[in-house]
Amino acid sequence: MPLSFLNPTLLFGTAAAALPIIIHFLSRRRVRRLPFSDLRFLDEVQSRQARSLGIRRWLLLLLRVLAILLVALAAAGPRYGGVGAASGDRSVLFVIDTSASMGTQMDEGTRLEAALAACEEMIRALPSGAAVQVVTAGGRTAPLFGDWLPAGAGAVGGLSLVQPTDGPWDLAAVLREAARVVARAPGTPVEIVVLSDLQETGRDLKWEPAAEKLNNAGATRFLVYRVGHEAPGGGILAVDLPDRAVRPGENITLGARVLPEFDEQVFSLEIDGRPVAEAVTRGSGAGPVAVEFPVTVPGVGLHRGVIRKESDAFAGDDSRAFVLGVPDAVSVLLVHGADRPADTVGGRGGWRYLAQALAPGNGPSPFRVRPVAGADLTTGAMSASDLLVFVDPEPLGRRALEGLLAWLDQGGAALFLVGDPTGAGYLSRTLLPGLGLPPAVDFQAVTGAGQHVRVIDATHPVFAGLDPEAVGTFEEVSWRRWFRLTEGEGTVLLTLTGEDPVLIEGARGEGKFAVLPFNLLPQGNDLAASPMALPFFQRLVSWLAVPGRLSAAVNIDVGQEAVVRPLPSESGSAMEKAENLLVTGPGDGEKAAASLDWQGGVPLLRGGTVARAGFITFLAGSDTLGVVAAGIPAMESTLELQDPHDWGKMMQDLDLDVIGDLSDQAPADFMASLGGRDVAPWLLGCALVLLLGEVWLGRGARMRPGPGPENVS
Amino acid sequence: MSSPLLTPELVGHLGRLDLVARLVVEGFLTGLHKSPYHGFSAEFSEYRQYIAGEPVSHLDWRVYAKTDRHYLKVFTEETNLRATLLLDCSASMDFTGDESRPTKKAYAGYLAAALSYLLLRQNDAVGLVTFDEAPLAMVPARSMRKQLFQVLKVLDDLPAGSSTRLGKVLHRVAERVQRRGLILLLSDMMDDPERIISGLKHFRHKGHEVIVFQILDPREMDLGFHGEVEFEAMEEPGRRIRMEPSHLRESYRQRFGQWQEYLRRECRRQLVDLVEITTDTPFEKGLGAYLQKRRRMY
Repeated sequence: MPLSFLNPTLLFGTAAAALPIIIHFLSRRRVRRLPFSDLRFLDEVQSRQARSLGIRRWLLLLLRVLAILLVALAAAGPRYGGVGAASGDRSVLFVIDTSASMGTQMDEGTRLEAALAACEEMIRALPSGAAVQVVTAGGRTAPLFGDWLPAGAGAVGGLSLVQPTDGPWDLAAVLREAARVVARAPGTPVEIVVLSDLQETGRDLKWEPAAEKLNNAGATRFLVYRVGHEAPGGGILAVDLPDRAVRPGENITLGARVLPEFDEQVFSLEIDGRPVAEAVTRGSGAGPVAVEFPVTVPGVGLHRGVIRKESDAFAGDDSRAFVLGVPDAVSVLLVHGADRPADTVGGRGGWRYLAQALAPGNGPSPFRVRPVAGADLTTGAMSASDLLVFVDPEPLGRRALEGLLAWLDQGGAALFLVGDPTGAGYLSRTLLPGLGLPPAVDFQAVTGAGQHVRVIDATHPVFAGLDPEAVGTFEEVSWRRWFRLTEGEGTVLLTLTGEDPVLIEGARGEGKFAVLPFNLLPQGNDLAASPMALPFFQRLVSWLAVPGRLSAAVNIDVGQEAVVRPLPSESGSAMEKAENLLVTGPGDGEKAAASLDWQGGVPLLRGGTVARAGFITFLAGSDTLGVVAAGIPAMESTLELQDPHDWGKMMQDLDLDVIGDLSDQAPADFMASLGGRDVAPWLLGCALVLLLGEVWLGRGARMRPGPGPENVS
Repeated sequence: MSSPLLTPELVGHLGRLDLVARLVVEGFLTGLHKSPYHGFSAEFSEYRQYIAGEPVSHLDWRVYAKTDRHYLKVFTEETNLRATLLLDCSASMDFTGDESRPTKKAYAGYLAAALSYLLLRQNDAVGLVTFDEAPLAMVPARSMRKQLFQVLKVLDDLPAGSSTRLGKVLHRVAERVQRRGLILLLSDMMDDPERIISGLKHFRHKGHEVIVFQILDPREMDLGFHGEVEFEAMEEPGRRIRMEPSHLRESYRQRFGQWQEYLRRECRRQLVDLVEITTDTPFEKGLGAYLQKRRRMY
């Protein structure tokens, strides 16, 4: 709206502009008839000037009307060019983007520093009656003040509390937080001024419900102030750690997705402070590329690594921390059915073969296998394990099954080997539905040579790196008895030559599982006797037992919650010293209290939402219980910035009212931009000019009777 | 100077013209420092002793030479001036822009009465012609005392006139006034100025001295009316002009001034005295103009 008014009610005063019109027409009706001595001069003058006088008369009327109109408009406090309400009692919510990209260096300071300076000037420009609230958005989105503050020094001083973060700009979180703040605003509509670099982001399904929530909270109008311009640069977007448990001394390939700034850019890898490897990119400008670092897995423990590149304007993504957990052994809880007389030496379902494959008795093994009968399964035993392996288990009780599924939901892993035809009912009615797989089962038994297995995806971590000859050996193994399953939502990794799946992987909650529809008894297949049994199961179990959320070494993005599962060896002491649990953040190493939480029988240490990139260490006294490496979200490395106009259209698509772009205006002119410039003096000046014009045009009307003839003569 | 009590507004309330004439003239004469008519075309009457302080212009130096005494010569006044007052009684002379002021005709009547009184007091002969588009009444010029009453009688009963044909009337009157003398025209001159000048030329051609008292109302000159007004011509009933005077005031005054300037210029050219008087002007102005003219003549 180009013209708005501080006191719109005074606009009723414009009705006074009708007075000259009324007077004009009333005076027309009051025509006096006067005898006059001689009309010759009047006749001459009138005929000569009749037209111009008629025009002048209407012009005089117009000037009077306009003059009164302008004075009435001036009294109403006109503001020109404002995009918001002109009222002095306004509520202004400033949303300051504190995300990682706001740390990009500009000519003078960072984008965040520029945004804070602009915000400070805008608050200073607000009238004293205005109320101010500030929401910072970057990793964690929260209001800066406990409640709305009057505009002034207090609010300006509060801006010093704003800290940069390495988190992402989350528009949905901004809208939700704005809704909470707007609901407590002293007046509506609330003008929401977004100070951000408007980094390009993909559309999020969470935006629409958040926008709806904001619209329900009260009337709002958005203004945007874009800080900074697109700056060239690159960064490390993500670190790809092995998708399985690794063993000390193992040669692995550690990958990373990077955004090179130029061709043949060098990225270096450090582990525990020592340079380990370098990688050189090929090509640039084509977006993210993958680089690989050959690494020999260090000893057991939690290892802190960093991938670096040379610094650019946005230094935040020029290095990325990660933590590599090397367990001394994967703890496998092998749950089996009670042996029956008919079972051979391999035990029910051949569980002893599996235990032997994972942890041969004649040497060190990366696995620590603990067999337990199904009837003896407890959640405590479950929580102390990295992986649960079920071999033809007896039907689990309701509580045990619920515990198992909850454990999976929390990030646990499980492997099921089911090949006993007597368990078909339990399999179809309970276990498969519980895992989210189709319940249809059909026990297959063939005679003769049986069917052979085929690897569907040789690049899968279970099979990746295997010698082709080994794969050939594996594919020569004969299968004679199995359950025919339907994969449903799962992924088939192995099939028989008859196309029946014999290895299905799936996910439930945060956890993952694999189902093998056979057991290891010799009458069912030759796998237990195959030389491939040991590598197959070790790889399968390593992959399933990869440290996920239920690990002492967790890699997350800034903005996520730091949660670790205490190291098994220390968890006991951690729980004993719950009141001494501390978490140290990245950067200054400041310590804060960590909380101990139990989920699905698993102890979890929580350190809150991470705001800065780096290592977060959980401590109990001098014991390190876990390490979290937080990296800047890849989206913060996006170089493209949105045009404020496009940003406005995007917001309008969410039914949000965007009323202006302040980017090209000085922050000190904020009020002029928001409420418009005070044009009352101009209007009064124009009114004065009109009145002078009226006096000049109609000066005869105000003349005193003319001088006597003696003066004329 | 006259008594401030005898303003045109107050004179109107006196009613009797003879009283008006006497009061105006006596008041006017009392205000003068010396007799305006002393020494005019007079015959010697006697001597009287000079009193210190008197002007020495009439000292008889021969007597002084013989007697070594100062004597003044005293003259008996004698005149041969014949003055004819021409009074415009047309409808336009009935105009007044303010009810508190006399109409132009009334003002002209008062002035004519005062002039008659003054003329007769100087033993001049006074005549009167009233007219509108034609002569209405005519009193031949006489110097008798009772002539004043003849003149005042006509002035007391001035008729409501119609339109003006001043030029034509002047020609007619010029033909009828045979002896050379002084013509005193009292009119607003609201007629074709060229015809008026033509009429005045006629008088000059006949050897008359002419004084024109142009009597106007102040409102006529400055069009000092407010609001929307419908003016009706006094000499042409039914002819009206509707206007907002304030819008035309400047142009009107300009045009009016041109007209007056034309009259001034032509009167000057014809050696006619033009005395512009408004109805709020004291009568002394008219009387003074007459006396100046009289002095120049004799």
